[in-house]
Amino acid sequence: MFTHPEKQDKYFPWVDRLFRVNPYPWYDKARVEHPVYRMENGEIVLTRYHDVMKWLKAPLGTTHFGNGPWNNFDNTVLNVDPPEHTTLRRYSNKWFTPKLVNQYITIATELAENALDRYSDGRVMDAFYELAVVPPHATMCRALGVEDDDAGLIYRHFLTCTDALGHGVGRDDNDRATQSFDYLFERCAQYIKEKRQNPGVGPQGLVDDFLKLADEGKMTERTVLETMVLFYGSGSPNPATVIASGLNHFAREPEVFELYRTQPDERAAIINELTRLYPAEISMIRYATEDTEIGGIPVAKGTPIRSVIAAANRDPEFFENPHEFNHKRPPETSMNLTFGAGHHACAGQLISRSVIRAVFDAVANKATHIVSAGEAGLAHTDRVRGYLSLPLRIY
Amino acid sequence: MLKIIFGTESGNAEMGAEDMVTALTEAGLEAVAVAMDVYDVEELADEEHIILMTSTYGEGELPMTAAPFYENLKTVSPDLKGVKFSAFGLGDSTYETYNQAIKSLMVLMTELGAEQVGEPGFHDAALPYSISDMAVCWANRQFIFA
Repeated sequence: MFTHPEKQDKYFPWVDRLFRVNPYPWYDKARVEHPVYRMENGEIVLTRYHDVMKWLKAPLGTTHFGNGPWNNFDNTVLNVDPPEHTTLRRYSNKWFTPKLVNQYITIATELAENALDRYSDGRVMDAFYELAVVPPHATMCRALGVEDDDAGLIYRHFLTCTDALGHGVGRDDNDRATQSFDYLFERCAQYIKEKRQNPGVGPQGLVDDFLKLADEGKMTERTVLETMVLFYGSGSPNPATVIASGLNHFAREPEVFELYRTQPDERAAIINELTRLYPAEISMIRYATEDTEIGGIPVAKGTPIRSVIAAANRDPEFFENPHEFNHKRPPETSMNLTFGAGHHACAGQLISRSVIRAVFDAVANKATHIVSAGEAGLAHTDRVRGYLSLPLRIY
Repeated sequence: MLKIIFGTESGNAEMGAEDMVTALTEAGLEAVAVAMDVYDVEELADEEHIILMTSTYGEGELPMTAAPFYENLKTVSPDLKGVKFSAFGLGDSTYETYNQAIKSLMVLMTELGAEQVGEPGFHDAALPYSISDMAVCWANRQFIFA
């Protein structure tokens, strides 16, 4: 759905196709001319690194994904703020510790290596599905304690849910998102029903623990279900964008892959830089809980404030030559905001970072060449950068 | 024996403490990691040398497993004369309350008579260094190369 160009915002033409494919020139212009920008509808848009970082961490904001289908997560860490947020976050944190993630992650390595073996003769692989979706989904399923089948289906449904975020969302987008939410909720409700009927049978994980907490009256059944859908659905999309973009980058710049392959000590820095360049969630909204000001611009209580993470990650005042890959940035100017910051930093960021590392390591261990075999299928909106396919030869 | 008593919110301090134990053990020292939420503060007066390790949560608060330890320590208020401690904190320097939790513990331990040994170590999440690398590097400097 595209609105007439004249009706679009001059600095942020959210529904313009070109903007959605490559919003960075617009971000750069806005950052220079109006780093704290007030849109006609009153929404404030931030594009500078320090403003975004400060606002994401400020206690002066509530986070909510707005009205519409995303109200399905009103009882999760996504849409509640401290102190309820702290309690919920602590229940799930226990299942995403470095120690446990190291156990879950073996499945990602195994699946990635199996896929690479199957295509080791140089046939074209949909690297997006095989390496960016299947391993992260299976890893999250292991944490949750559920079967890991239908990775592609779950990814596509959750991606459809994200179509209801951002600007220019029409009734069709909301309807499709609602249908996908319904599918994910029904599927997760079925898993929960089976766990209730056969406690202790099959894979065990976060969901089983949450059901015990529900039995103890520490959370509602609805919270268990919503939290399960949130993690189950989002387990692959965020790492998938970084993995797919990273593999694409390796194909475009083989010297970067060669560096990754031959210099294990550089791998963390290379991943950090790829994560900076290719965030999946490119902006976040928080609402001011009291009158304040940002960069000298007065902001009234209730104002939606959009932190454009993708713009902050390429702020030249913080990152020198921000559009270029440079894994040797000074330590004090190398940390990006891809996984958010503050209370609402991504709850699954440790598992996401680990799965990205596991997949890239598997590729580095199994292959010496990554070659593009066609155009990637993209599903970028103004809010989320997603893929549909990525044809590569990896051998 | 060096006892590393850790407080954690998301398991990072636990990972750092365990990696520190591995490094110290490989260097021939006897070390063990114990979570703050299972450690009995009444035993503290009998310790010779402990390492306190904790992250900071939210706006300078103690993390989930460190808060009860801190409160118990204040309530029991043992005489810690003769007890040595070293400290390592996990924080984020973009917050004004950077590493506030370990600093609160350091103050309380000192008030109870314990002697702080060596410089405290800090991991800064605003820099791209791994917690384990920083923790092990600090432990090496404090206990192995010293």
